[in-house]
Amino acid sequence: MKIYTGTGDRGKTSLFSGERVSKSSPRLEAYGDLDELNSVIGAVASALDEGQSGLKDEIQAIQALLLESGAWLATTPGAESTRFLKPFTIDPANTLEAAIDRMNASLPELKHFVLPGGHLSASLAHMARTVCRRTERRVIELVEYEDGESGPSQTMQHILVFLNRLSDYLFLLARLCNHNQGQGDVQWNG
Amino acid sequence: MERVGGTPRFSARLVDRHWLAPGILELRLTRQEGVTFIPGQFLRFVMDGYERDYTMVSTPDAKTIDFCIAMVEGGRFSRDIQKADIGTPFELTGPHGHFVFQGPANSAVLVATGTGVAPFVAFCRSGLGTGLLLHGVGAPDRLIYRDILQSALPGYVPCISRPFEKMDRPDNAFAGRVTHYLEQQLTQGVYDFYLCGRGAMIRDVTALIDQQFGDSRLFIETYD
Ligand SMILES: Cc1cc2nc3c(=O)[nH]c(=O)nc-3n(C[C@H](O)[C@H](O)[C@H](O)COP(=O)(O)OP(=O)(O)OC[C@H]3O[C@@H](n4cnc5c(N)ncnc54)[C@H](O)[C@@H]3O)c2cc1C
Repeated sequence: MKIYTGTGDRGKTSLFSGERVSKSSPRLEAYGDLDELNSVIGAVASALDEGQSGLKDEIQAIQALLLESGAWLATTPGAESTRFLKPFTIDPANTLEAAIDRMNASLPELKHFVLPGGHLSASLAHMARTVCRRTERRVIELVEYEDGESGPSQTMQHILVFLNRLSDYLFLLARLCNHNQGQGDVQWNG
Repeated sequence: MERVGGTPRFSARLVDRHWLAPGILELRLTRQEGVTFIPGQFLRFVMDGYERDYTMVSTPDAKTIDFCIAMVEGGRFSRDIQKADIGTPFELTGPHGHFVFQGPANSAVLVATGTGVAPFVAFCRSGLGTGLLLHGVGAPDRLIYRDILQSALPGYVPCISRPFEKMDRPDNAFAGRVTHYLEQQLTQGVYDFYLCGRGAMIRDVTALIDQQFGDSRLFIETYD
């Protein structure tokens, strides 16, 4: 399969549902940020030590979910092509909550602010957290832009909950990465 | 039938192979119980050391799974498929792809070059044929599935890109490329364009759609 098609050379691209849209449209902005988020999360996984395969698997499962939510973002709501998309339910958000509780229980109680930093894997997890927050803002913008008064579809709601939980997960993941390296949180002494 | 990472994998035997037109073979494979697809989808042939994709021209419930395949100079599959004996089993995965009929939202303009007409044959045979079909070929004798397409579609326009004898001119034919037809003949409007074939046609037609039919929807299947 060829990587380039030449169909996007004039600033437009096709949505999965067929519409030609500007590459700067709110839908593409949201989709692009989600793609960036997935890439930064990939970098977190790459920076983990060999011994952390369980965590790596968990991160890769999250990446697969981001691809699935990306497919929804690349499709106009209600289009015929949504029948090809895997339903995005509330389950992924619930799974993240369980992982958050597990990580929280294994970490010392937080009594101070932390600086984003420490081990490379932790720094990247903090970066992923901030990209995740931006992605969430972009998805909200998209939903407000397209759905107006009617509010987001159930799928979009599930994606928004997922992104919101994912930021919290990434915060704890950053802490866990530092603790796994035996260096603890980087405290803010302000 | 087994599944590999969620995609079915199965084997099917070659039951028939004949020339549809110069350089274009039609293949028929047995369709095993349970093998199904949506018209417009393709199957992947898993060969010895390489894989190739081909779009079905038959309906999902037909006795055989049929394909039309353009022979490519020096092509690996092109060579292997001509040598294969009737009865040879092939390994396949699929169905794959999302190039399917998207519902009657806007009036449809189907654009194909060569064997890129395959998904539209499947649409027509499944009762989903609608709108205009431009079939771009080099010469009139390459107009495969003409009878089916002509009877199923209100607008079937063969577009013949090379000069040809007047007496060979098929009914309703346009002398020129599909892009020229779209440029010169298609009235302004909002359409659902379905493009299938080689990348160069898809790139040129997409550029034209962006310029002249901006609010249309566009679905593409690239053969390379
Ligand atoms: C989703 C999908 C569906 C497809 N469906 C069909 C179909 O229904 N019918 C069909 O005929 N093909 C179809 N193709 C193309 C097909 O998969 C092969 O690429 C094609 O048959 C060439 O395979 P080959 O092994 O014979 O040649 P290869 O060994 O792959 O190629 C040999 C040489 O020929 C060139 N070449 C490849 N294809 C062409 C071509 N079409 N015209 C001119 N030069 C070419 C290559 O660049 C290469 O230099 C489809 C492709 C995709 C991605």
